[in-house]
Amino acid sequence: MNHEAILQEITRRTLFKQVGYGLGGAALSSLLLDNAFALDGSSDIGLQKPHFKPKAKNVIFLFMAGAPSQLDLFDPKPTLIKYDRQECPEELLKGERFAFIKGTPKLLASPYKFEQVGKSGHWVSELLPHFKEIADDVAVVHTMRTTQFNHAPAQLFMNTGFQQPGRPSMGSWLTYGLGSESKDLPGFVVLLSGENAPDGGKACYASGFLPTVYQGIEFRSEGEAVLFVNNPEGVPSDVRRDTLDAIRDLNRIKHKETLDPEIETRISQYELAYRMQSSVPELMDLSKESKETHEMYGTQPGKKSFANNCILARRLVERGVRFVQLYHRGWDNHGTGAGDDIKNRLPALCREVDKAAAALVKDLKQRGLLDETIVVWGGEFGRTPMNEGRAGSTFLGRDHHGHAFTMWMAGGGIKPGLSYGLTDELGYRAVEDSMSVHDLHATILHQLGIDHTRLTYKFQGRPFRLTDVEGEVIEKLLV
Amino acid sequence: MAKRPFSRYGFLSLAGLPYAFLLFGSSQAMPTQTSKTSFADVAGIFKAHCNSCHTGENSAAGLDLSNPEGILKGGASGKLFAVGKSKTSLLMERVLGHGGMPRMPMGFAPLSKEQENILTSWIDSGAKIDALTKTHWAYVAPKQHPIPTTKLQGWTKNQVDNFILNRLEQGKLKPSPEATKETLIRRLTLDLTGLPPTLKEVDAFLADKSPNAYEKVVDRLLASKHFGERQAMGWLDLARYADTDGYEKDLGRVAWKYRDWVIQAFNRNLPYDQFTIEQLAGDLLPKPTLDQMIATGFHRNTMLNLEGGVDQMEARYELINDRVATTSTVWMGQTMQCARCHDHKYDPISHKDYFRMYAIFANTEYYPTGRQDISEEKWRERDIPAPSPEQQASLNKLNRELASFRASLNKESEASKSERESWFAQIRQAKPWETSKPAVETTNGIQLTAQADGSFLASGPNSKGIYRLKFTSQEPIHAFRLTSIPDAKLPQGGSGRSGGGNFVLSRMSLKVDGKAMKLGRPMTDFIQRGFDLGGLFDQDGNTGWAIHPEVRKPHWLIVRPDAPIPKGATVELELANESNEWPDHLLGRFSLAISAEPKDEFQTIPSNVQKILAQATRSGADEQVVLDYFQANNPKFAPIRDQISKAENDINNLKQAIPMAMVMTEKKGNGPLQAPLHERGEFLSPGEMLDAGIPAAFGKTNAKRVDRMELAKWLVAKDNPMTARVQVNRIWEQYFGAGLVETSENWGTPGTPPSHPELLDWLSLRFMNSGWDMKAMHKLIVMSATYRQSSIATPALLERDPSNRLLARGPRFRMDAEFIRDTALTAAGMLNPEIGGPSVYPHQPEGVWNTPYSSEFWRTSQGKDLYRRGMYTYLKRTSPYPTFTNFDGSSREVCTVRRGRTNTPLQALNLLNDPAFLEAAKGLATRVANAGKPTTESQIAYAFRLCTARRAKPDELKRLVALHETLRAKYIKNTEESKKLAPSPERAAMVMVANVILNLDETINKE
Repeated sequence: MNHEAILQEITRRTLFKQVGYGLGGAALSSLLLDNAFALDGSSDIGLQKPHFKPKAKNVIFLFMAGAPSQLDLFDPKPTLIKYDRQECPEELLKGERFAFIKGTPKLLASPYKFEQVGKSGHWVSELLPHFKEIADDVAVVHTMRTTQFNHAPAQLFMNTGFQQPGRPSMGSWLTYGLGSESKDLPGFVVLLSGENAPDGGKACYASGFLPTVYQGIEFRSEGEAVLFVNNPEGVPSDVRRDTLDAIRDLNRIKHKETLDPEIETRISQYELAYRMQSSVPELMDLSKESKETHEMYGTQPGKKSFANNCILARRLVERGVRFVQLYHRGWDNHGTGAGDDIKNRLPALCREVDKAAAALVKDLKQRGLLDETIVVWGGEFGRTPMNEGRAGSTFLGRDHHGHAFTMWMAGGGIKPGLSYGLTDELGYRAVEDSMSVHDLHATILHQLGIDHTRLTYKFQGRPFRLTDVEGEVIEKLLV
Repeated sequence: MAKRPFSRYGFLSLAGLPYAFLLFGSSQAMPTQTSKTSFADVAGIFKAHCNSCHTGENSAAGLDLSNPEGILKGGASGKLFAVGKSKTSLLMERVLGHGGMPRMPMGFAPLSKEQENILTSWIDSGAKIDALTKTHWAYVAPKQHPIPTTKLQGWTKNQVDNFILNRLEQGKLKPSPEATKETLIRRLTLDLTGLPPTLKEVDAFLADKSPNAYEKVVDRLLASKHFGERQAMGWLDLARYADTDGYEKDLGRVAWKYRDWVIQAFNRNLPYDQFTIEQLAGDLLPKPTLDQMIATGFHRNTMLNLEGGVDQMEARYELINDRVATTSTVWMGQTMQCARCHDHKYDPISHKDYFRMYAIFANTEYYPTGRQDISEEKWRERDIPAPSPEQQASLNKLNRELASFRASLNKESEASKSERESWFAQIRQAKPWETSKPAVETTNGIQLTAQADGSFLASGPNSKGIYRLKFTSQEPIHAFRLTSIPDAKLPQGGSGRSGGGNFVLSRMSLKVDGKAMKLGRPMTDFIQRGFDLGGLFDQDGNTGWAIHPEVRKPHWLIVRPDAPIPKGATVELELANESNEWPDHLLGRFSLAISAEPKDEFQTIPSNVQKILAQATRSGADEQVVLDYFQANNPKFAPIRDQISKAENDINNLKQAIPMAMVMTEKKGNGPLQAPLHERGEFLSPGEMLDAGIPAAFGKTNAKRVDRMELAKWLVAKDNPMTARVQVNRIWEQYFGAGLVETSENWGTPGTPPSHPELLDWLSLRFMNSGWDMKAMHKLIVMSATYRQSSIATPALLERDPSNRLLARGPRFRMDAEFIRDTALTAAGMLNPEIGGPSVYPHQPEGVWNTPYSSEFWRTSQGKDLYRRGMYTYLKRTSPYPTFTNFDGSSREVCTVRRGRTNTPLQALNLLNDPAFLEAAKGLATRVANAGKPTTESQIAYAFRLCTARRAKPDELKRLVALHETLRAKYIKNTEESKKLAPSPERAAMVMVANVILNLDETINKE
């Protein structure tokens, strides 16, 4: 089916009943499941139903934009201590491209102490004291790999499976495939904190060639939570209701005359907009959360913070939102100065995220939501075992590194306490069980009941997938 | 791949297939017939669903379904079928997923029932392989078809209608009646200008009973200067035109000259062949005009990743890849990018073809800039100054004036020989500069160490500070001269202490015998742009003297006391950095000299002039030096020098104001252009060198050196089957919401076949034969009866042809994002209709931009620029204007052929609550209140008409009046809320009524 026909099909089918946000697959799948309509396979309007029984319903992706240093957080290397500040062996440099390292760099030991925690025995550095509390719920992947070594392309790759803008992001694919179970919130929500927006820009959560109903919608901590959700000054809600009634009545008159089904869709979208005007503020209002919860996350009411966004993430999945993505931009610890080094900046970033990320996992667990929610933590790549020393800088820092880096996952049928993959003694490459970005995508999709090779969309004549032509489900990671 | 016969791609003709069902009068009736199944249908299924794996020598399971031989031969598991026995065939077993093996196509949706039926019926009816030599229809040049005859007489207005009506009649359908005049003029005006009609225009059309009233409107709109804007909108999506580079920093670029070129090209009806040539290869035209250079900005619109640490060669590789993909999409309707990694799976484009095309674009000039040692080197292509005709005229005039001033200065100075010699004699007597050796004091613990040459070197703390220089005058002092001296001990070998070796001297002040004395009349040989010596004597710590980027050269600064300082006075001179912005920019090494020469003009005699004048005789060259000096410094010429420097200043200012244009320029050379093939399309795997060329299956050019010009000429050659079709189809799409070929972004075999193939051919030939006349093509379409039909549907029609492909009714669909804004502003009477110029910043919510490593911010426009058309809104690729994103606007990161057309709650919220749209509602309410309409009802009727061009029907009007009454009553009770919206409850209610009308489906739809 081609693009226009798909949109029309989507629109047409939504007319069967008033449906949730964005005309997406949710509407479709619930509708069709209600009818016990069980066509297997994929089509160009998402999935009629999951390919197999899903283990998880939702995903919360804690995206650490800028790329955290795995060697200072999760992957201790005694050999680096031994050879600290000695020249890097030439064979590591042969044929390699670095973003900033020139010549022969020196190896860099982590200045931080590591310990093994919990029954799992996960290694973690002193910078992440709260991680200890969730270690046994988490699978740590030490051997993620990516093909990209610059931020924007690598972030796009991690989010869309392709290094240039234009492809749908994972959240878009999932809402396209499965829809959202939320009646009055978008199925794919994005929450931003940290220094800036992600380097890849809004393309990191755009819908690419999928219809824009599947794009990630930013819920903002400052100003209006969702752009234009608030009534303007001078428009009380009863007045807004009156105007909406009038718009509906006039649109109905028009529809009666022209019979254009798009008008009916528009009428229902205005109603949904009205519902969002209460559902969004209700969602964003953290005042009803208990004192204990606030303390657990370390929230800062009224501020733009990762901790606040973590509570919101939980509230969003509670309300059936399919894919919640948090971005915390920082982590780009090159060591060109105190503002981006490993000694000063990295600990500060860890303080910003460690407690809240751990709290999120604990909170989901205590509410029984962790079973159906996958939490993913990680950045677009990792960092080098070598000190960068750009232009002779004396601050400690590491360059971009994509061969092996750490991410962790919890919940949704991911094996708790598992340590996946081994890196070599410098932490430079995987020596056991490497996992590509496409593998990660395939595995997440799998847990949501989707065969990644069968969730496709035809664009410019070619069926596209999130995983392009690659990707394998990493079975070892699964319960 | 190129060696293989073209015919292997050519057996497929899908023409007519997907639309066939429309002719059977039922939406369920996809053909399931058994008798007529042709091999083309079968091959079409293989092509679309199987060939991505089962193609060529290394195909999966050794099965090659891309040609008849392979299909008959079968693969590793043996023959696919025995003729007549589909039930037991391997093919059907795999397609149906029987026998315990994975169902084919593996990893993708199973075939539909209809497709399965086609396969079985083909096998069972003899598995005939025929029509194999038939090339994919889109690769065959358009043919002249006879104009079809129709049964219905008197309906057609031009030949377009014969094709449409003939097809309708085949399906036993009738066209719809003509739309009302109001609908027609609104439809036309929106389609041709992107703006709603004025009521004056509507009324004139309603009143015009002449037979050619409609055509008059069409001609007026085609001549409108807004026609170019409307047409440019679609083209700018194709050209991925934006105001920033894209990717991480996403910095601004000055690209709007290209945008304006596109608007003007449409307005002056530049023929499409020339339009093509200028954009792809304007720089390669003989003596290209500035306009033709600007046109090449088309491919400069590519994104550019300026993130630190990017491999520039790879960035350039991606840039060229984008140019190949975009060219192929825009002109050929082909997906050449698929062949970047391997031979195209569906279309006759080989991996080599791809890199031959790549080679065509790989020869543009670029220049490394920035520091390689810190990974900040960037490769940039050329930008050129692009003055408007007015600017060029002013520049020419100023240059002429300057030349004449200089000529008269030369003349006068040469004529005044005796005066000159006596002035030189005075110079010989001038008192020389003496280096001062003051005692120094500093603040903030800074150390100043005296050097052997009498200069001082600063060290220690580097955060603001004052240097106090004290001494007793040995002679009367008429001037101080401060010299900045570069030193290897200072950062970057500069003369200041900032990281870049620069300094900011923000204040100089003087005390004589303990009493403050004013300093003034400063002069310097160099000052950093943006700084002003006047700042030395004010309280602003961020202004004064700085010398970036010439930090590695010595520079002097002369200042003079208000009155001569007598001999024997205690002199205290302060040199201060009191900058909050640049506190670490202290002066690093400097010396101080004093002059007893009373005349300013003799204080600045350069040493070489002094030396020459000291000689008894002067050579010719020396004579010229002193003559120049005389001209430049003798007070006698001050007036003419002022004229010269004013002219020079004016020229400089004008040059600053002249915008740049991003252009393509070609590296010179002979012989074929070349580029390496890249294995699997990977940057790191360059392979065999290839000569530039066009895809072999599509033809060839005779040129030895196939460059962008050759490519452009080949594209617009009369026998190119693609270019004209692709363009007329896009024009058609703009009017009807879908092209005759619906997949306007893909004309390869997986694309949809045309709904009206003969019409497409006929239009394409007509387009080419008209000399690629674009306005004529637009006119042809809008003059048709097809276009003029009412868009009102009937249940039967909705059932038969829900997406209106057969055009038994007129088009009705939502406007593009930018035109929704334009419509609201126009209705409110607020639109600033100015054309072109730098992009503008209308109101945007706070906090939308937050880009890493960028200090750029949304600088909201002032005054009338707030109300420009949507297309002039600054487009930042990583963060486009939110309203436009909500309405499916493109981020312009890559070439966009068709925008989606979604219908979402965010759009509703946007139109209801966005301050920009509320402002329009206020404007509309004010406009109708001031229009001299006596009653609320008449005001509302007027507002309704401004938005829809038609009169509200009684029930519509009644509903709106009732709303106004309800809201008025509420606002009377709630004056606090009322006041926030408008001066009176009456008006507040009207603002909300206007808000409602601006939100109506009809207001944002073309119908």
